[in-house]
Amino acid sequence: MILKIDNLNKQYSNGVVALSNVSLAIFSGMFGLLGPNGAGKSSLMRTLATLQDADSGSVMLGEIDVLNNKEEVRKILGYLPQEFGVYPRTSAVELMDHLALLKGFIHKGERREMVAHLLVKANLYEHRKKAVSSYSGGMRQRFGIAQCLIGNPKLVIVDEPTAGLDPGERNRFYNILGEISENVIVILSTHIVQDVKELCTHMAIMDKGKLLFSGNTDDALQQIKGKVWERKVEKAELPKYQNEYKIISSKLTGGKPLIHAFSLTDPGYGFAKAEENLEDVFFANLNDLV
Amino acid sequence: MWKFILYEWKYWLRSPMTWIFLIINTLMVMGAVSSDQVTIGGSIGSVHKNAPYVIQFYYGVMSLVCLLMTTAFMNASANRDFAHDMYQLVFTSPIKKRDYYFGKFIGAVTMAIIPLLGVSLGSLIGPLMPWAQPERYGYAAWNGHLLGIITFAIPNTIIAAVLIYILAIHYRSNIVSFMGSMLILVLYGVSAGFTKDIEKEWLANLLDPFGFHPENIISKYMTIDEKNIHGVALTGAFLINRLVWTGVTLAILVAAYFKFSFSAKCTIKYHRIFTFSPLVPHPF
Repeated sequence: MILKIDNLNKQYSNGVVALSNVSLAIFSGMFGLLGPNGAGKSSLMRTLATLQDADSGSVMLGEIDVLNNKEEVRKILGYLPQEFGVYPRTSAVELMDHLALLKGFIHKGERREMVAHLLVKANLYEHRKKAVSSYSGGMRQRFGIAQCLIGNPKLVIVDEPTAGLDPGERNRFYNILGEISENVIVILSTHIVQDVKELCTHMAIMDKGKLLFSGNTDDALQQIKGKVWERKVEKAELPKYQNEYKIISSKLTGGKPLIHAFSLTDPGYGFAKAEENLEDVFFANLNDLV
Repeated sequence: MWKFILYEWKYWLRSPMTWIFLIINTLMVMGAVSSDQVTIGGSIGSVHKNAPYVIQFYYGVMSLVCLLMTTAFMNASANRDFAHDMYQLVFTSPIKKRDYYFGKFIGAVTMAIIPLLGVSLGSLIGPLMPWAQPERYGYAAWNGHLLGIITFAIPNTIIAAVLIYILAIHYRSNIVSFMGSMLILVLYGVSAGFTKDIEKEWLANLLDPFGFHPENIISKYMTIDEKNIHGVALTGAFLINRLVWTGVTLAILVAAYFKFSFSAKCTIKYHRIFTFSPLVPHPF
């Protein structure tokens, strides 16, 4: 199944342009949507998840018109929102059961079996009788992915799932996500480059409602191959470098800024070739360098 | 639709609120039935303190007193998915708008009637209290309970519930819902003052949304013996009043359904921070 997005536009009533002519084809497998906060990722995700309407454009999931045939989409959709709450005093089993009922699983036995299976998958089975509202951040996100997989969805949308998780929990979350069948379209939105690097073969970069790049991750790296140079500098020198070089990023290593500069040729001056990574691709795209 | 009705039932039957409200009402009515120090809606005179007429009347008064309780039920049910930020999970399920809207209403309104049953409980327990004077009571007669529930508890709860439910589901604000219910009480008090002087009796009978006026007119000429045996039968102007007001509010509920939408009021919060933040956010 292919998810085809064509010229999608959305402007909010306060004038913010959330999506501007976004066109994208997404195939089965894990797809990473990368962008800073406010880039329009969530707007795109919410539109795909039938929670909000677009101003113009079209979205086709296989044969289904996503924008106009929402109910058909919802039958095969799994959605983990950026933020979600749960009813108080409700255990994981009860809540999953309720959500499965809403998904249209009327048979009680079938529901119970599926819920138990998903809670085992999410490593939550031993905590199934505890109230979800008392879960830790990581357990809550794992509950989120479990509810998202109710009814074997064909389209899974997870919106910034790993924000606020510690590395251990993040790995556990990746593992569950990685087990989803290969025939399913999984769209993962994130501002954490690491997530995309570890999970996705295809990706897109968004900023200010516009699509800056889409393709597979190797192509993305190819864009900047041999053009990224790094150097450790003193903090005081930083403004000078910012003026003279095209700085992609700057982060502290051992208390000193390590800057990545973009240059087609060797800038000299103590710069050494850096190993290109997706983070550089991300910032090079955000800053209009490639 | 059943899945929403059943969910509301399960939720409210497990909620302490339902039972605390029931106990409060039971205690109030028990006090009124067992002693002269407590009165509800004015003195009842020399009629039996558990006469069918009295119980029916208590149902009427308590259905007004319970307006805030009804509000609590309807407001919480209408807003639960938003108050707990569950709406994204619920609304991306293949559910029908119709089932959601009416299912939640039916589920909550039936539960909102439970606290009112405290009138029956209280009037059954009252005569058993050690301080109660046995000569003030008649046999426990079921017609008063039944009439009270049919003529006051159910219609008045539905009337209030529809208005609160619509306010709650439209504005999604606790304050608006409770202000709304206070406003209903105030407006009712004011309008009762105006309609008191209306000379056309059929109009006055019709204009009282909670049905006290026709009940009052019919019972005015009932003797004490009659009140001890019968309640106020649901016929004539009383019946018309109850049917008209229940019907009108249910029609409003249906009309408001067409304005209800799953995708209204979407908000996105941007407050997450970058996990790695460049010292130079925008180098160029």
